[in-house]
Amino acid sequence: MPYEPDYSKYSLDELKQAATQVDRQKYPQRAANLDKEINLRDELSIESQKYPEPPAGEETGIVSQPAPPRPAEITFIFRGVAREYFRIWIVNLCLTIITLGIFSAWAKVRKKRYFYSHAFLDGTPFQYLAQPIPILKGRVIAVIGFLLYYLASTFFTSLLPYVLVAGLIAAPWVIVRSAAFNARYSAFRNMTFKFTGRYIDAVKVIYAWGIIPALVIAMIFSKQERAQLIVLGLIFFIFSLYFPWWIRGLKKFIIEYTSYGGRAGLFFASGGQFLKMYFTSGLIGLALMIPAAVVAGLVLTSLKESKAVFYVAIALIYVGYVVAYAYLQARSGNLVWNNIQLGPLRFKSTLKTFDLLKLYITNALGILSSVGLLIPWAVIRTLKYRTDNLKALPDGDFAEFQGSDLSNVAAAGAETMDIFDMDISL
Amino acid sequence: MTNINGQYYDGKRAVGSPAKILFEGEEAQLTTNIISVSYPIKELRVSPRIASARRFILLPDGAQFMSNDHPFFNSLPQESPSEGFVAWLEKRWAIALACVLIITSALLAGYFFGLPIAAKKIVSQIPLETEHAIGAEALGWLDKQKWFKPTALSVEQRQAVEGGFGWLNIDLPFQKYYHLEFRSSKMFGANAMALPGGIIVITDDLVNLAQDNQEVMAILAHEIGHVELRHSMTNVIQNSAVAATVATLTADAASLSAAVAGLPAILAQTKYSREFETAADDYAFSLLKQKYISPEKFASIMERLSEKYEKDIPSFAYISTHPLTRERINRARAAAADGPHE
Repeated sequence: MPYEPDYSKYSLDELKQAATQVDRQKYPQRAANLDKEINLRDELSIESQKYPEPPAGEETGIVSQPAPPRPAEITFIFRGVAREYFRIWIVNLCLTIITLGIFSAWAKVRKKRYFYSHAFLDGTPFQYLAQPIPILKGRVIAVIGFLLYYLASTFFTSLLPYVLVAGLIAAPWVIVRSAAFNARYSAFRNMTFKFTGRYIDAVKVIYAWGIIPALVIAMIFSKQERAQLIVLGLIFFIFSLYFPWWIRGLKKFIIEYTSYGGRAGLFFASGGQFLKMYFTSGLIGLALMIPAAVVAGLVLTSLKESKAVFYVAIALIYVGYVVAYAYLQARSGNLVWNNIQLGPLRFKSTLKTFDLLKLYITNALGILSSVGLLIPWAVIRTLKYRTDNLKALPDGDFAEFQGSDLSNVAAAGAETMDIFDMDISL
Repeated sequence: MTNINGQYYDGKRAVGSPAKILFEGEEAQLTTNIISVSYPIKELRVSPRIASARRFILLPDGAQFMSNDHPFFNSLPQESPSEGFVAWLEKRWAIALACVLIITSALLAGYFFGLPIAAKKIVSQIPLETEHAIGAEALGWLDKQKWFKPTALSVEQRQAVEGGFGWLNIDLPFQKYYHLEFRSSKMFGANAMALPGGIIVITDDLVNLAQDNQEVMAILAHEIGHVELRHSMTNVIQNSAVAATVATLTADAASLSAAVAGLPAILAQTKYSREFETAADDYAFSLLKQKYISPEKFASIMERLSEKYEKDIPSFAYISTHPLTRERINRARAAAADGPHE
């Protein structure tokens, strides 16, 4: 039995080379195999021109061909459809309620999978890889933590200081584990993200080398009321001045310890830029709240009986809050994304305050008037707006992302963030 | 024999290549323009179906094949088999409609029947002693905040109130747990409250506002009602359940519009709270009659309280923790007119 080469391992060039050299009289079977293999590959490259599904951005990725000119922008596109997501949402909600909450871990995975698999970069969808059971375990731990906090804050108030200190100690751990979990189970083109920040790194970032928690602990445990007030004032003063730099530090921490394909993120925004943003949002809020305060003052002094004016004042304060919030969401989204570099990619985010404001108001009206049935619709259109306003600006090739590390990460941190409703997203 | 076209990702670089997989018998033949590999089908893992999104086949060597969804994928080994059934449910409008109905009826039934019954069952398993530490702690905390100051009532006044209190609770199931505390408080004004574990606090202003001791006893009877009916523990259980349910329902909307998400919980919880007040009122009327005191006393002290405090406050029946005072007074008068209890 003569040796039969395994042509499936050959590259196309090697196959063509072999086809010209093979002795077709002596080895007809071998020649036929070669031709078959070549035909298969040819068919495939024809298919590959057909295959790239919408959108047009799908990489051709054929190494033997010259690379196409690099586009100036690569789009993020969200293809989720409200009607489709509604069914996913309602079925999973129903199962969660029937199982008294146990199914919520599965529900979370299903919903995340929907969001990820409908978010496309360069024509390829993202992938959510987490499994429900670890999430369920994480949720149990997080719920226990929340119960401890709840019991201490409502019943056993003398234990509250200890629970708060435990919370201060746990917070950096929660943030680090949450970022690690989210990164580990998010994938793009069969490569997962990775977060390498450690507990001690988070402590430095969150607690500014321990000054703030030291003050907080001093306040919690100091017996004298006056001392407590002074320390509280001090904390408030330091924190409000420091806040923009603190937020910037948190974002920088998350971004620069996150890597994809061996490339860690870089973050360029300065504390000054964050300060400007918070200052402006404060001014916007005030500009709307001052008239409200004036109106309220008028009510209290002269028009004692007019309740309507009083409610107008409350409404104005709420409007001021919502406008300031929309401004912050738009600006901070832009500020953060526009100052990230990940390997060969920079980003361009073009969120607008007015668009977000319209979105929030219509979402709230829709949800209220539909008794909540329009929640999926609101979720999808918000995600769509945010995703469609994000572009990647390539300064190199996706091939620069190489390698992927797959170690397991427990879900407890991420679920604690969920239960306490914390948000460290960009 | 099935042929599926897609993209191949080797897991080493963020670049894909066009590929196809040919499924034949036990084997899956993957071909790209560079490689052609054959895998046993049983070693493949297909990502769960989610709407019409693309699916991923995890290959035994860590590489991945991505393509549009194809019915054939459902016959391959699944990465997460349990999700297949959920995906089947998620595809159907009839199921979605059924879910809306199931959720609505489950929530209504749970809210009106299930939760109150379950809370009652749970509470009956928890002895009142366990609440005592909580109540003592709460009182200590209120004292520490200076919201409560020591009473300025004379010894005679206090003895009269204590006597009436003792007469009210003398043969009640929780008699040995009752404990009356006097406090003066600017913050609470004329008020009385039942803390967990049978501790009842009454303020100086309330004692002074009452025209006679029987009016004070009418208020105390209401607070005793809260204790006997185990309202503080029931309240905790019901409110936690409501908060958890609302949080689950609105989890997705929370980040969008926090203000919208909080409202349903408040509405649901205040309704329970109003029911507690009405139940404690009913308990008080019947207790007062047993002790030869007319519920009219409750009506008269409530009237005086509302004259003192409710002049400028608009009343919203649906977001208030207490029923409208007018209604409570009318119910007391009706109970008084109903004749003596025994």
